[in-house]
Amino acid sequence: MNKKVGVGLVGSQFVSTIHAESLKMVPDAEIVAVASPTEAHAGNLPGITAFPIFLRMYTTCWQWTAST
Amino acid sequence: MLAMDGIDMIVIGAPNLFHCEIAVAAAKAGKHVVVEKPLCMNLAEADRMIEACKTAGVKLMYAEELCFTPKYVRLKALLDEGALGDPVLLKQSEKHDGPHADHFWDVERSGGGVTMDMGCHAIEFFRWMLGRPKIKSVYAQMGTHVHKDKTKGDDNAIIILEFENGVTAVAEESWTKLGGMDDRAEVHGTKGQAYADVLQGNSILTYSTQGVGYAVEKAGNTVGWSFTMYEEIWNYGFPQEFAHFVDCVKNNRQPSVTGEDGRAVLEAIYAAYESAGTGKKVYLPFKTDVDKPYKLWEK
Ligand SMILES: NC(=O)c1ccc[n+]([C@@H]2O[C@H](COP(=O)([O-])OP(=O)(O)OC[C@H]3O[C@@H](n4cnc5c(N)ncnc54)[C@H](O)[C@@H]3O)[C@@H](O)[C@H]2O)c1
Repeated sequence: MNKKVGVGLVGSQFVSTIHAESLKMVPDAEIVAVASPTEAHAGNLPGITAFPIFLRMYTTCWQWTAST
Repeated sequence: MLAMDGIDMIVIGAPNLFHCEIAVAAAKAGKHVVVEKPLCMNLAEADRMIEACKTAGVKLMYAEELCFTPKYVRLKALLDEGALGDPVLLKQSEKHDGPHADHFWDVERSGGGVTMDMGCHAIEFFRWMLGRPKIKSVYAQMGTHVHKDKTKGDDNAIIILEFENGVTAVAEESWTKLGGMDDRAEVHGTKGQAYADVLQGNSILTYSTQGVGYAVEKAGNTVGWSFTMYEEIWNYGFPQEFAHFVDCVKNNRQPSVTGEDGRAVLEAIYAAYESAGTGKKVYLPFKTDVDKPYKLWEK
């Protein structure tokens, strides 16, 4: 694989903050999406302000719709 | 999200009860999976997750960061080089004053108390440190001493594991330890012993009349003496853990901590609740159809 490894985070609070902070230190990885019931939390993750696709999560786990 | 071409791997940081559903869906979508501890709620879910990843040909890493914690990696190297002789007794414990979110306290969503939440770290630490021999038996003592108003789960636990190679391992777990996180291990061998404390010895001994903005995880009151941690996530090994899995994905290598490891940990957790419930030592393999560990203790 030549490109960066694309990462999707599920969750956006305590441990996901650690995941985002850690992945910032891995040059071969790039977080491209965050799935979370709360968009504002996803936007607060370290290094995730400028870009990606936030997916809003509704009642059951796997009914996502893209918001921004 | 699972339909996005640009995504190669999913990292699951959702509450325990969703781990399985999310992991299976991610695997079916062809994404590699990192799942936070504990692996999931029960052994049937564990089997489904492992099977789904195998069938889809994706990698599954059980995210036990203690296998990447720099101080513990060095501790393991001491044992592996023979500096401590043959291992006789291992100890590991994690303690703080209780979780930060409601799903941890609700046994229906977490599966159990501190044994499920933090005992899982100790169990995988022991397995990893010893080169993953089989666990022979589990004995556990659990209680809810301080947080009865908040949880039906255990807030303190002592877990004793016996490995097939004769090593005994003792885990002490607490949700009632005030004044900041505690995470430490001991290895006692035939030729020496070593003590490794993840947070002490490398944090900043601090005295402040004002209190510290952020000192350490779950610091509580920091007026007066406290300890201020630096590079906290590095000291736990989280960036190292992710560097490892990203390398596995990029270069098609096997993760060093797998779904099978997470399953073995979960089996020992079930055995611990069974032991605490019956007052007896429980021998492995431990089979049960119970869907949440705490139910074996409650009976
Ligand atoms: N390795 C560690 O040391 C460590 C530390 C903390 C937590 N954890 C584990 O990480 C997991 C999450 O814990 P946390 O502390 O981050 O909790 P948290 O409450 O801080 O965050 C949980 C996140 O999951 C999201 N979420 C809730 N329901 C969801 C659903 N159905 N689908 C997708 N996302 C959903 C929440 O919105 C939130 O963003 C738990 O399994 C916990 O055991 C591991």
